Amino acid sequence: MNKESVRIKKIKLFGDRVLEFARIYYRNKYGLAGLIILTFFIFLALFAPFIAPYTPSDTFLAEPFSPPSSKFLLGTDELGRDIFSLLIYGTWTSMTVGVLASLLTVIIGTFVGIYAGYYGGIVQSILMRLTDFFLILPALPLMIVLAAILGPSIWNIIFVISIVSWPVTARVIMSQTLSVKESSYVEASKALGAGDTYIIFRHILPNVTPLIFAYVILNIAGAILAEAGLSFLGLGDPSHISWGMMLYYADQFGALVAGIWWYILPPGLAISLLVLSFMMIGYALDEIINPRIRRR
Amino acid sequence: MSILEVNNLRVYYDTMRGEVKAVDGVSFKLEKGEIFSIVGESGCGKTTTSNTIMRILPPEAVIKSGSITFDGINLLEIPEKEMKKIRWKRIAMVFQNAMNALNPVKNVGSQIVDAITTHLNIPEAEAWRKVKELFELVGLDPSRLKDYPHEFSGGMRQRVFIAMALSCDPEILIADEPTTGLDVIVQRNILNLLRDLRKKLGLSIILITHDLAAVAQVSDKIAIMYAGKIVEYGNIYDIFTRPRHPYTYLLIKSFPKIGSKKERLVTIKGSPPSLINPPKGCRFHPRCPYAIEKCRIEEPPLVNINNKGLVACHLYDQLNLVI
Amino acid sequence: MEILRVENIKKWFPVRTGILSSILFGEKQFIKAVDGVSFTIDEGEVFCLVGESGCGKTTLARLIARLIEPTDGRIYYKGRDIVQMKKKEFRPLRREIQIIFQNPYEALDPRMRIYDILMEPIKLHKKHFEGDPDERIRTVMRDVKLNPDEYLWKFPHELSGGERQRVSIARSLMLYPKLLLADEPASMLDASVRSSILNLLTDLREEYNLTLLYITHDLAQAWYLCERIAVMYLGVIVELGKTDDVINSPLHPYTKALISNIPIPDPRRKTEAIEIKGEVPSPINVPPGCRFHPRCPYFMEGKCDKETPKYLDVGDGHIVACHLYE
Repeated sequence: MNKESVRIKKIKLFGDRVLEFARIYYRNKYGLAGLIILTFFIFLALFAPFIAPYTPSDTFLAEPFSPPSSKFLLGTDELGRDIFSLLIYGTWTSMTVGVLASLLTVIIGTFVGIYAGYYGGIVQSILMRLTDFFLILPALPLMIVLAAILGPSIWNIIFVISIVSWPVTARVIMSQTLSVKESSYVEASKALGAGDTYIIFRHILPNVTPLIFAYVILNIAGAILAEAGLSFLGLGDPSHISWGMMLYYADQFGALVAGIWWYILPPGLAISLLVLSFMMIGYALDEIINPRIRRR
Repeated sequence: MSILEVNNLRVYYDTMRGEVKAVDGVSFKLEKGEIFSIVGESGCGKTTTSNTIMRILPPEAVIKSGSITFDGINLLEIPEKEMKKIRWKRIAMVFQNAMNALNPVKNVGSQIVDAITTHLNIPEAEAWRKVKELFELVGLDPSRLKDYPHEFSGGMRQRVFIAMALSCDPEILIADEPTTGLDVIVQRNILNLLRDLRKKLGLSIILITHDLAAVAQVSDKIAIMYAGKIVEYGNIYDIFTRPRHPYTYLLIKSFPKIGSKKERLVTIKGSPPSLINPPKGCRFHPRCPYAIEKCRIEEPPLVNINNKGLVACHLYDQLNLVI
Repeated sequence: MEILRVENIKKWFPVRTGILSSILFGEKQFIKAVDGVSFTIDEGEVFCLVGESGCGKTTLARLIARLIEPTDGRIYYKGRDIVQMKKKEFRPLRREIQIIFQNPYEALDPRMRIYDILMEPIKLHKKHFEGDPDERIRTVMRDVKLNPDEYLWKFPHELSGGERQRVSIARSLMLYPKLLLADEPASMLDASVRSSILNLLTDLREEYNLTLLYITHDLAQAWYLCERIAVMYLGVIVELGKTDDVINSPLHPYTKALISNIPIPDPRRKTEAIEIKGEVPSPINVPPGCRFHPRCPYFMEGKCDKETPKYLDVGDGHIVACHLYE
């Protein structure tokens, strides 16, 4: 067997594994439902300009707070903007913030977790005290303060969410790293002369990757909620409409008191649904990855 | 007179990958006052068998058929309430790694007292007196009654657990791998203790183990299990000197035997089969050097050999297996 | 010719204590896992370290493989002190000193296929590897009696315990090692599989011209495989000698007890076991004098609990550390 055929063999085997994974995933009812909902939202986010009847800047100032009709499917807001269109355009913001914040969270968490777990000693102590510090601080007030100081921008929100939520991931990754580090296969690698970098990239990273995946997905749900919360409190980026911000404006203009349900319900439901879909996917992945749950 | 009779027991596990036929038609009799060992490799169904007798199976286990008769009662048919009167009081069990199952924040004496007072209706003072007796019985110093589990070594904790199992004067003691994980010397001491207890208390003991060598010195009868079935059953001397089943024979021959001539060890090819799709015919046939066509097709019945033992092998009267 | 010489090697692990207790008691406590061990192994020999759990035999193997650094002492491999050697200098020697571990379920990376597991040694020593890596992998697999076409692309979880241990052995053989440290490779396997691993090691030793340091708690395995045996107790060697000498005429009371307690799968041979009280004490508080004295049936007061017994050669390299023979 030459090098080329080994590569082909590996690609084929990888394909088989992906198919196998898809097959198991397909059998998981919750995971499948979550994936369908998510696909729907991704579709909305990507094709917003083609789906939405209006743009967020189209204002019908003469028709504020009009109830749902054939012209405005979900009615209008205080500026006479079409809520249905806002909802569709808002999908992009909520999703981007969620995904990017989660990726940043997990990248920081993985880096810290592996470093602390692998090198141990003083580095571990310092990093763990740092995560303790972040863990005991109440997340929401911290985020509010940080967001207020940094000012309203999408990037600041992403930064604020990640800075506050990475410690949980770091802890989990660290404990997994510790157990992989102690295993005989790492010892065997060391006995062959493998260096730290080799062991981290060849053994530890592959063994924590499933965890990383599950945490990225689960963190997206949390990040979407955090973004909605910050925006609802008026700390969002006004140049990007998001669902949280819609709720903020609805609250500002007394939609709740006035009984203008079409302003409140759609963004609220959209947030719940998107978060739910990520949660369902996350748990499905966890179930597939973690064979102990899978056996039941 | 047999005190416990297991008849055609089948216990399967429902798993995502399929039905695991962990115990598939097991029958044996335990005579009063004997030490009966069930020997087999991991996953052969020996622990499932003992857990079924105690009725402590996990929820995914299904008892497909069979009966377990104890004192005229079928343990598989009585309600849980009745079983509670038998479990611990009349049939007690020492688990694998029991030494790690003691409560670390309570002294060992009061743990046994608790076990006694919850099962028997006797005053605490009397229970303490009883624990003291038990301590002496299992070879522990009664002055250490108030010590905590971490102050005992592994072997001593195993003794504590045996004392606890004996606290309600059971008629049968089931010991599931009681010496696994202990050092050789301690292992031997525990096995000797079981032998002494049998003598002193007239206890009937079922010893579940993977270690063929360890049971040779203490048991009266042995059942060899392979892939959910008993393949051979008999008196300890017969099994070790004149085994009838190739598996038993090869197993005995695969141990290095100190003190005899050094000859190349016998090996058994392959590994134990999956119990989801066990091999057709005799379950040992893919690994058996003597297998003939019949072994692949027809399942061998357990045959009685001159009232000396049972064996499930088509070739039992043709092979001349002598150790 | 001597391939390995271990001189008075020590490994003390510090016990993690709280700040308070270290202030109160001042003195730092240590687990004396290995506490002054010396022996030599000749090229091509099978040398066995026997001892119960906690006697330090595994730590010793890890010291020789330089997975951990000793607290004190010297280890000479082919006359060169590997303790003092720089990591970089030692790296080429790693090809020659290989180790296999006890637990086959932990010894292989669950995310790697057998092919990649066996490829690892080659990758790590690319510069020194000659020949076709694929061909080598297939040869080694056949050497450990696994069919390459059947197993090469499997993951470890698809293999049985015995098969995994074979892969683990195959990995250690990839770069033609000289000294193989085998840490209880057969102990966690079922009886029917154990003997095949023992036989495999015997065969490989011939084919690869290996020197084998075999570590086990099971004297029967030691007796079957080895030419010389060292019996360890609580971090030190108490008896060392040719296998037949140690097994047939043991000198140290601990060795005697150990041998008489080996379970023999034969009810006709009712051995009378020497009863030894108690269990191995903690390696943090090592008994003074002879470490075995609190459990020894021949305990001599004022001698065994005061003086550390010296090593005594009773002839033919049979060495014992016991006051009874002075």
